[in-house]
Amino acid sequence: MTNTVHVQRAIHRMTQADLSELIGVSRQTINSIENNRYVPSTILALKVARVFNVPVETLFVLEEHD
Amino acid sequence: MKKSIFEQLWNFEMKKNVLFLLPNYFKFSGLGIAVPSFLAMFFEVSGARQDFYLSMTEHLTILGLLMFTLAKEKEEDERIRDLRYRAFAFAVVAILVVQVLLPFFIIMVAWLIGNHKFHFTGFDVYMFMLILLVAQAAYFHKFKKEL
Repeated sequence: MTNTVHVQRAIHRMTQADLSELIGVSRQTINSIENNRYVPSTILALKVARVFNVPVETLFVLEEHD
Repeated sequence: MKKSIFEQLWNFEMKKNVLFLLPNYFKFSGLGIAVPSFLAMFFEVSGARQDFYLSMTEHLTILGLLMFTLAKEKEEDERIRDLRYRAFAFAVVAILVVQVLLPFFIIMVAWLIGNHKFHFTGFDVYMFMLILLVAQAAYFHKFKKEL
């Protein structure tokens, strides 16, 4: 699975710290999500999508092997 | 009406709660208990209280490590929660594998050095708990920043 969180963050001119504060996780967690080291729960994915006002499918995209 | 233990466990699972965790400052208190207790084990105490002294230091070391491993992080979120579970799973599997294989290793070494007076045994309870908790803490803190 890939994600476009860092792209959306850049569009909204947000730092990792800003986003982490908005959804109530650590900055390290945002970093891990952006670098595909951690797959967030559905709840966290929905929270991120709500912040950027986009569907979850825009943020998280399944790959062939998933 | 009082709920049975199974109903309480069921409700706990349904809420997706995690292990009961202690406040963050228990991490430092735990280390403060575990490290001196562990070091105290290497001091000799003469007399009849030797066994009591050794048991007490072992128990305090385990207590301190338990406090350390069950203390919350400053920023406790779902990634840390997942990692804590994985660290416990890793520690349990690792210690069980070592415990099962250790006697065979001892036999092999004894056979190699020609010593036939060996015991087919694994770790005692204290060592088992110590290694389990240290493995959990090591795994958790190693991957906390990397994952």
